[in-house]
Amino acid sequence: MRRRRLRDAAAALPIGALLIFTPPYMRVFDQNAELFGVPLLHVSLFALWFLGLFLSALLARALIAAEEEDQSPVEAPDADDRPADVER
Amino acid sequence: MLTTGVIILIAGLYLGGLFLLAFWSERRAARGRGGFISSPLVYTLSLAVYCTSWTFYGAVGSASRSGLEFLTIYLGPTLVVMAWWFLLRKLVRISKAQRITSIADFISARYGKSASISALVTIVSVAVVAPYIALQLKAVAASVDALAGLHQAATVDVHGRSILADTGFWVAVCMAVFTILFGTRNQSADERQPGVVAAIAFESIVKLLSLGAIAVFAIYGMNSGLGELFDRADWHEGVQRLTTLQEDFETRWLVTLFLSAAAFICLPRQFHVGIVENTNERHLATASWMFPLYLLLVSLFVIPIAISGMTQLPETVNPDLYVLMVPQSAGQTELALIAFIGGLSAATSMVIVSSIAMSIMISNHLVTPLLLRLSVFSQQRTADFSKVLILVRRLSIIAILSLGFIYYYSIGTTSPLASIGLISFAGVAQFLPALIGGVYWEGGTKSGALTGLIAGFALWTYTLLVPSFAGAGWGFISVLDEGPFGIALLQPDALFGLAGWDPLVHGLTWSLTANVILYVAVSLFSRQSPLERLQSAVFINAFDRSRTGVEGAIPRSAAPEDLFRLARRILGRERADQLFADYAKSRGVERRADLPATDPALIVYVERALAGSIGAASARSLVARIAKGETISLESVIQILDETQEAIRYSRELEKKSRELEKTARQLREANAQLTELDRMKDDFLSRVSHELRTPMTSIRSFSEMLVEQGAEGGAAALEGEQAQRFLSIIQHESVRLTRLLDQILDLNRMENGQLDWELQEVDLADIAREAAETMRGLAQNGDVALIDGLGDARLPVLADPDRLKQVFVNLLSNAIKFNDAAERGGAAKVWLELERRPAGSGGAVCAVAIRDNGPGVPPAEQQTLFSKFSRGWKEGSRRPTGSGLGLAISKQIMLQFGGELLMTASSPAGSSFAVRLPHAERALQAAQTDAAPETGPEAGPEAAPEAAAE
Repeated sequence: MRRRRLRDAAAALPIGALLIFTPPYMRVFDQNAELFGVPLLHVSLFALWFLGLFLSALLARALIAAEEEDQSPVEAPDADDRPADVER
Repeated sequence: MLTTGVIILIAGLYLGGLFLLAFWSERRAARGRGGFISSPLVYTLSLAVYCTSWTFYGAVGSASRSGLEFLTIYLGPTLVVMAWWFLLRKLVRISKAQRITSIADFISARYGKSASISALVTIVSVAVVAPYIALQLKAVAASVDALAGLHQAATVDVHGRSILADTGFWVAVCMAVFTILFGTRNQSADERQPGVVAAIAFESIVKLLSLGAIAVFAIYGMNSGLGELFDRADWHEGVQRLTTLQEDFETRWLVTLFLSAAAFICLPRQFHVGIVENTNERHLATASWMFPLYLLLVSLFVIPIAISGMTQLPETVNPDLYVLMVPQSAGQTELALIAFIGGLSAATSMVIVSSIAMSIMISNHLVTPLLLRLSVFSQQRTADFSKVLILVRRLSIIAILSLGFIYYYSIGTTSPLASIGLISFAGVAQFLPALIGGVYWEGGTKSGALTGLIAGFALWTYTLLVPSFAGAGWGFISVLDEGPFGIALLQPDALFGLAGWDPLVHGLTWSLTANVILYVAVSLFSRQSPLERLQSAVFINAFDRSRTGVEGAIPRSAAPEDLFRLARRILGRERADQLFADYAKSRGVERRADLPATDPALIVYVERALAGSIGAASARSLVARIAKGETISLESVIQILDETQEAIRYSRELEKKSRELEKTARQLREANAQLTELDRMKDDFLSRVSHELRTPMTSIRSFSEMLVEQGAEGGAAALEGEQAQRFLSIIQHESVRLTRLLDQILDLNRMENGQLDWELQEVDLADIAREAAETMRGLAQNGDVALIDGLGDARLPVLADPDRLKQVFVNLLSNAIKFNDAAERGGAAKVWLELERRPAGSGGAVCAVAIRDNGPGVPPAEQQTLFSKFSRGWKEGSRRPTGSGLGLAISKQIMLQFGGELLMTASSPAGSSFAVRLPHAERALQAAQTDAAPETGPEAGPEAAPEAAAE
């Protein structure tokens, strides 16, 4: 289940990034405004870019971890499965 | 101002340093310390070969000319690596499985290992890469001239200079030598060349740092900070362009974004570093954020340099040279030199990797297929082909660099850097439909891919290359102006009347549209050959582990000896020996000669290994010559694929079943072990009981016989009454013992079956314990054991049968006294009777008394079976004072009947401790009332524990 969610996230991230970095949405940040003396367009573009790679890093870690979990050998059945010890 | 000589000297020193670095890395790797070469960081840095001098100089130029559009060149690859899980990972997985050597090899392997496709892709690549290499040489030459103050306006004018005086020529020569020395060590493409990798990674760092240094200088050296820098936007049109989006930037934005994304996969050098040389899929995960970070930094550095260049340098300066001219104009010669070194790094790293990738492609897909057709190489007993292969690689490097140089030398001054780069990108983007379709669409056929590629490439040449040639003054002017043969409708830059478009958008739209449409349409109307069918299944289901071995299922046969000879011819003796030794080992066979005569898996294995050296198509044709076998039919391939599917499902089911069986078997085994143990104990018990019964029986019998004999002899020698009396009392004593034993056995048995129903009454556990202690005091005195009553005046009301409960204490005390050997060990034997510290979690609802001694303790081996009726007393060889040996077993049963427990809480050679625990009387009553009701929690009951018990 977790693996599937991660897979979906791995698809959603680049698609979302693609939308943000392509025309109609790009226009949103093209305002005549400045932040710390830098045009808002630049600040927002690079901030989003950084956010994207940050999320990508998180996702990559999770994906690798999930894959490792997947590849680890099948665990021995739980101790509960064993017949209860006969005490008497 | 620096002179050309000094600049070239510095460049020479830098390249010399690069040689040393490569040499040192090779030495390290040879000594087995090249681990850093295969780190994810180095992998990411090698991806950064994407940033060529086109980035280094051209991005600033592009930013100055057309504003923010330059960002798309870096956003495209960012998006591609972010989607690594779906595309790059799959490409890497397939390439590892198929031992892919290049992008041409990849596409050809997907479409039935077609030699024509790999040759076509190689030719296209040469046509695309040669101008790109020319671009790098041009950038270096231009930067030398700019630094020396020769040209600031034009890029570079090489005409009227001898070749030997040309910086570009020397750079090309240097790179050829470097690549030949360090780039052709290994014959197979997927083995890393440590020298080259180290050099590339190093150069990636150099170019980033150098660009960063110039950017910092542009902000704080040329301006007082970011504020001042961006204030210039208000009055400069160029800066305006860079800080806002243009009126109709959309089309070009989308097209360049797409082109850069496509190029990041399809450029031969990117495919080489990113896919072929990838040693570990995990590295992609790291690169998925680290590489975007690299690109982000590069883009970030470009902007201030561009603004500073536009606003603070004379308008005559070429924007492509701003990186150099910004520090140069401020008199910062050292900084300008750093910029120059950065540009040189960018150029040389691209040239090195490109020429390696191209040499592999040219030698594997153009030269090798031709050579193998020559009779010299096609015969079985010919010399080592591997040496020829290395030679071909080296010649290919010289050829591709010469081609680049010739292109550079003749194209001269025209075309800014960025436009050549984008035309190259558009050229390699033609591989994209066949590549993406190849890994996601099972229906793509060889004919479709071939037609699409040819059409796309032709239109690319016509709509993009021809106008650029015309611009370079190589003719075609009339074609450009009036269309071929005067047909205006076919003008290269306004095909079918689509005038007024941006030339790049125009060219890419036409070429790629034709490419995709033909690829899909022809694929739909053509059939796949069996091998194509097989390969497409393997490529598309690359993550399906069980599918990878499908090829081995094709029934083919070849003598191992023939395969070995072939491998030796292509790979060289050493590697072939290694190859077969590995295979034999994996098959559990000692020697090559012991391999089975016909083994389809071996054929596939050898073919793969050959493919890693000479490409899939050539490897297939070589193996096909010696592998006799039927021609593969489509039906058989489909059957194999179906069978594999079936086999997978079947094996999964089997696996599940066998896991269940294993579980059942384990349970059975455990149950069996228990039964055997019980059986053994039963036997033991019976023999013990018989023995116990026999001893009193024997004495009864012998004494009674004596009495009978005496009686028969008459009064003559009649026994004296006194002796007869003694005999009778022995007989009586023994029969009492016998009866007691039998009673105990019966008791135990009934208790175990729950047949005894005692009247429980409220008694005081402590009182009973005291009574028992009094009873045992005599025995204790006899045995010199001090019996210490530590119960005080505690009251522990419980529900029990007082006699039975007393029996338990008597039994425990007698054991503690009888077995106590403290006196023998030179101490004072002691037995304590005391309140047990409240057992954890009982919450005062439990009354407990402990019997502790300083005797020898229970041996660990016997602790497990202490309370079973086959316990210590029954064991052979144990010190066994009187008693039936059933005592503890009976006691335990009694306690269980009362709803309490009897257990050994501690045992060590310093003594042992037993605990008698019973529920508090009120609790026990409550439990009895709500018998069938669910268990009441401890907090539901009253906290009625006596104060004493809490102590």
